[in-house]
Amino acid sequence: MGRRFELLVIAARVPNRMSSFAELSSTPAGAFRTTHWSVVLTARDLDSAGGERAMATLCQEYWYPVYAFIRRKGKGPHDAQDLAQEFFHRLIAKEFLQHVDREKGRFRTFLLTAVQRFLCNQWEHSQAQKRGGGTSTISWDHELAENLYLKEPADDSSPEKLFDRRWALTLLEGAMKDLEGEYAQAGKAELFRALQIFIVGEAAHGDYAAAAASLELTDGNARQCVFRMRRRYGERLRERIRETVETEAAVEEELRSLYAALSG
Amino acid sequence: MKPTVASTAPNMDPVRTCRSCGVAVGKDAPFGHCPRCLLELGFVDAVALEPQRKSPAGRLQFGDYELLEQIGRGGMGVVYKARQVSLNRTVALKMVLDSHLASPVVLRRFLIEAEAAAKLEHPNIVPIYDISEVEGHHFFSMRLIDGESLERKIALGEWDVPKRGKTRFAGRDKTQEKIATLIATVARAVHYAHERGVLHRDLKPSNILMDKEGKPHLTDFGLAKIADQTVALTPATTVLGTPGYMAPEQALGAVSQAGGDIYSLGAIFYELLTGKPPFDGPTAMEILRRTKEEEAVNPRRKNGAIDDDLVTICLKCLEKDPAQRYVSAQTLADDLERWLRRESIHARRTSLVRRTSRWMQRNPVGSALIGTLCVSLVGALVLLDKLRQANEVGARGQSAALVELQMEQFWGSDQQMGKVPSEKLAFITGRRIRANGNSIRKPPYTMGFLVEADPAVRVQKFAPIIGQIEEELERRLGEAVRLDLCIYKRNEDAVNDLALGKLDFLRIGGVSYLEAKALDAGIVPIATQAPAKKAIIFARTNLGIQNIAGIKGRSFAFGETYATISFWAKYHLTTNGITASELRHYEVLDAVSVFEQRVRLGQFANPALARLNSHVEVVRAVLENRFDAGVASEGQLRDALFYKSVTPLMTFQSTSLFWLAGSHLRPEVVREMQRALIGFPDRNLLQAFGGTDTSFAAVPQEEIRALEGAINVVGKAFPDTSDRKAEGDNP
Repeated sequence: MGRRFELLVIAARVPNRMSSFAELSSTPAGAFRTTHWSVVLTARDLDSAGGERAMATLCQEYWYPVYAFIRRKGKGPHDAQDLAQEFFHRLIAKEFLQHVDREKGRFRTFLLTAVQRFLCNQWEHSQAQKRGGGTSTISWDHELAENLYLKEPADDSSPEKLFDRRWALTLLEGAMKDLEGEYAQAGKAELFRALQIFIVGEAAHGDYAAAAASLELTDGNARQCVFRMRRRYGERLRERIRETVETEAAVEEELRSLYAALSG
Repeated sequence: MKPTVASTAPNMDPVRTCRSCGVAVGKDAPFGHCPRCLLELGFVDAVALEPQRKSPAGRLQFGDYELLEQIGRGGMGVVYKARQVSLNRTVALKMVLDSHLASPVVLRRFLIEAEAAAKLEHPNIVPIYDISEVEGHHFFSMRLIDGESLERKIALGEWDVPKRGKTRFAGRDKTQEKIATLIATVARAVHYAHERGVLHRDLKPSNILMDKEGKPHLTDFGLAKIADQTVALTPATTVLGTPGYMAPEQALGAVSQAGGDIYSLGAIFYELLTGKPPFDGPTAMEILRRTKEEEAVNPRRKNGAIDDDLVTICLKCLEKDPAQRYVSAQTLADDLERWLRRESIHARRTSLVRRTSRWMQRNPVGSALIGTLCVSLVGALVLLDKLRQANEVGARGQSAALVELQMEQFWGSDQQMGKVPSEKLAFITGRRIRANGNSIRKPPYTMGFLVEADPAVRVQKFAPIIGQIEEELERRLGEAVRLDLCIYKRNEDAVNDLALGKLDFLRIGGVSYLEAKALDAGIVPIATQAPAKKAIIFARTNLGIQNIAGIKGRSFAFGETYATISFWAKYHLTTNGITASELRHYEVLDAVSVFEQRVRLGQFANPALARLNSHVEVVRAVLENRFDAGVASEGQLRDALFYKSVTPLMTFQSTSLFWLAGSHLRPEVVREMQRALIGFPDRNLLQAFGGTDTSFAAVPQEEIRALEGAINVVGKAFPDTSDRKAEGDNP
């Protein structure tokens, strides 16, 4: 992952809200929560800057799946850069928001539909439109984007599949970074580095002992730390998803959708 | 695992296989971790399930089990290889995530299904040893199969049918024989379970484990949907299972039947033959749409080497209409074994008539004109076919076939009522036509029933009961009695006929009884048929509505005007402070009108098999986002509740069915009919009238008073109910 990309991702992260998982799960399922996406939806009919900011925050997070989608649709690197910029510009100017079906509204599905619609209509606008109104709303490293794209599997998966897969990976990566930041802030960067390899339970049993020894922990303590890390990761992941959906119940739905996207 | 490089993708990073879940992990994996496993940590309770205690041997302890290693995962559960300490045996232990058994209804259903599945003992079904919970975590243990899933075997290319080449002609080969043997074996196991009332509901290659000897073992019978729902769909359609292997009727939200499993077997068969399931697409919704609307591409077009007869067998399993598939998994197995023995198979290619009608169904507008031209021809062909069938099966069968034909024609027409005379009923049941009994000269009594689907099947079911009532009435009255059966589609037609004296007896819902009484005060209820249906007011789960008050400002779908369940739903909504004006929008879905219109437009391939149940329409309308909430019977909601695509907000009891007698009948006929019903001797026969615990009873007056009290309340709160007559007059 290139340096610029990392910086952007971190800069775009919202200040961590201090909601612990216990508090979240005590909210009744389906209760309305204020998230970026719900702010966008609430603000769409009003002329509020809050909605734009929230949308920009979301877009900054998930620009790469959009870029990859446009590339997979057969556009060259330069066109894809321009189209993606143009798309985000219009998106933040609320151009597609009227199409959001509130009941189905997940940011991921909305973004995919919007970019599909955008590409369909793009030829109409290609001549007439001036780009960006002078300001570049979302920024990313063009070279990095293309490098990332060139590493995409050269299989025949559809642009939609690629978009969903990329989305899931972006989300997972982001949550790992959140977790890393959290450990660093608590002065446990070393613990994170040593134990994060166990987070999905792929490592062989013997590896535990070595990691525990390097941290001067007992085997049992190291395991406890890993369990805690897994739980925290799950929470961070849900927090990130929560930013893109409206209700707590939708978090679960979104997890299932992304699971399917990753299952091929 | 040795890293492998995909040779077809030069710019792709080397991948490795995840040691936990077996998927390919690319270089782009977040922090190098398997993304799917990472994502799983997000599911609520995923981590809470991790055992925290260790056994003396240093292993992780979970109740009576020591968890040895994780051997697999589904979206909702983790499977461990474990040792059951007390019995010292190695088992597979599958955790069911708590979030998936959140409601007591789902939990209860899970336990019922698990117990049924645990009773299955078959060499090709993975036995379940134990269903239990530890500290509130539900799990079940089963035999550990040493091998890999069929999904993995297919991915490894072990089942690829060799393509046709210069030296290779179309027809059977070793791989096709292996495939036929496998599907036949699996089908026999499925049939064994079906015979014991257990449906699988989610047959797919990942649920078929292949042991080292290459023997298949079916896993997750009836449980798969709860424990291993790995597929995500849009919230409105979570009722659905695994697209690609799911029957079109399941895709439409219908209650699963054996035919659904047979379709899934066909889809697995298709995948083995061609390498891909019959329908594919970029999204789950797209796959479902294709499953519903498109015909599977003939496997021979994908690989010309595939044997013609195998294709015929495979496509018969994939018929859109369950009635056109094999009647049981056993008949499928029989046909495959015939093929293996090089005998001729029983399945037949789809006829031109049926393909044409299916084309017409999918292209209603374009085919309207052609349809008009063809209708008489098709009708004649169908009739000829029926007559040919009739000739084959002798006199009794002939009569049954003719009744069936008559019922099918009635069902697909604008006719209000289809009548089956007493002597034909006698033919169907094999009773003798008695000289003075059901003689044609004697003016008959008529008994009416409302039917929502399968009229021919209903007639066959009802025939023996009608026969018994006929004999009983004859004995009691001491005179010759004929009892003809009348099948109606619409409540109001039946009620009108009863009031006009064209119909003598009628079984009907409570609201229609009140209507009948309003038309003719002399109509009397002679018996009720218990138990009354349980009904549920529900909302689509993704709306997050938790209680009945949450319906305020939402849209609501009711079944048709005369539906008693909908009537009571209006009553309960009203008493909970929700009247018509509190709802954003509500509608009475008149399934019969929609049905008749679609019949007229020729949109059904076979109208005789179409259903017109308005509450099924309600469930569908809510699942498809057309309405937020609605009401349906418990049975109709079973699947939607099971998959939590709808949330139950209130359960209530509807009114029992009423048996009515017309005012024109002699009092002793009414009285004796009442006695014949209430004293009906054969409880087994009665099942055909509505389930195992059906019984007749005298009409409780309080039930009528409750209905009459409620009608005033409902009439004020939901004005359409007071306009019932106007609606009935203007179809």
